[in-house]
Amino acid sequence: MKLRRLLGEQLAWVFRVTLGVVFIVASLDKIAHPEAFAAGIANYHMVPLGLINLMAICLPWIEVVCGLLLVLGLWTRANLLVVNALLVVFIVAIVSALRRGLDISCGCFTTDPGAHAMTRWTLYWDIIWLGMGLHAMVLDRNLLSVTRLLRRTGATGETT
Amino acid sequence: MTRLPLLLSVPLGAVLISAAASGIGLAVNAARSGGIPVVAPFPYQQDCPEKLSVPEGPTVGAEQAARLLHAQGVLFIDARPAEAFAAGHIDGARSIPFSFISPPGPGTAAELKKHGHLIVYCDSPGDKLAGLLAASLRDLGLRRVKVLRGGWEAFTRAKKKTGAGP
Repeated sequence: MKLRRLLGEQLAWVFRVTLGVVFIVASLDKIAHPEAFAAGIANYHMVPLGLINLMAICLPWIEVVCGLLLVLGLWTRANLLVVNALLVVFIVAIVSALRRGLDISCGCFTTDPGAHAMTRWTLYWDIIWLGMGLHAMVLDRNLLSVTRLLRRTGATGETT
Repeated sequence: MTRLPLLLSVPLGAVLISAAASGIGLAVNAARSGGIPVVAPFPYQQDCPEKLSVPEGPTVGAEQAARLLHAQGVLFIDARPAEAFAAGHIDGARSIPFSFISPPGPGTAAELKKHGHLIVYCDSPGDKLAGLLAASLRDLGLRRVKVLRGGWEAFTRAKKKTGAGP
């Protein structure tokens, strides 16, 4: 029972907070340098020109908002759905770039084009995070979360 | 209050969170000084600048440019990043850092039109930044736009040689 709780609810909390922190950290440089991030998106040659800047403007903010809400434990499942969907998109983009042999930086954590080149490890990390996100989505029970705190005080009964 | 089923409330929540975060991003972008246009006005080619082909156009040699310093109707345009401009630039030059994402627009072109001759310079190999900025200025209808051959470095050498300018 204890092991089950450890591997379920408690591990899901670790994964949720880890993913939250990863997404917050990943967003900061992109928010600071939207122009460089737009160029980074363009390097993948996957997004139509008309959508590149819109994506460069919105995506980091989605990352930071979801990251913060995951750490706080608010609307957890909805946030995990966004994060997992983003990770699937990132994985598809990375696989596509690797298959095409593009010699580019992934743009995951820094917008510096001279930063670490994309490798298979970039892909493996995203797959690991997706696994963590799926685990948390199924098993998270709002441990150490604002949602649980609010529930205790009877302020909300949200389940998303 | 009736609760929505999870299968509906979770995706709906996800859409609302994404929309709210995007709204924040768009508002911040509109308010900040370093914001970018929502739609990219120019194709991106920033990944491989060394492979970039710079459109051909008229050029001017460094010594001739040094003699034109402070000449009436001549404006030097610095295509380098703002930090490089701040560290040192040709006297009287205007800084227009070249960027594929935010190239100069019609407003800048209208301001530059009053100058008879524009000499664009940078410090990148092959004068690429200057060549690209000059090309985008020509696309905006500006004529008499020339690239300073050898850029900032050649100009400073030529200025010492000719003793032109301050």
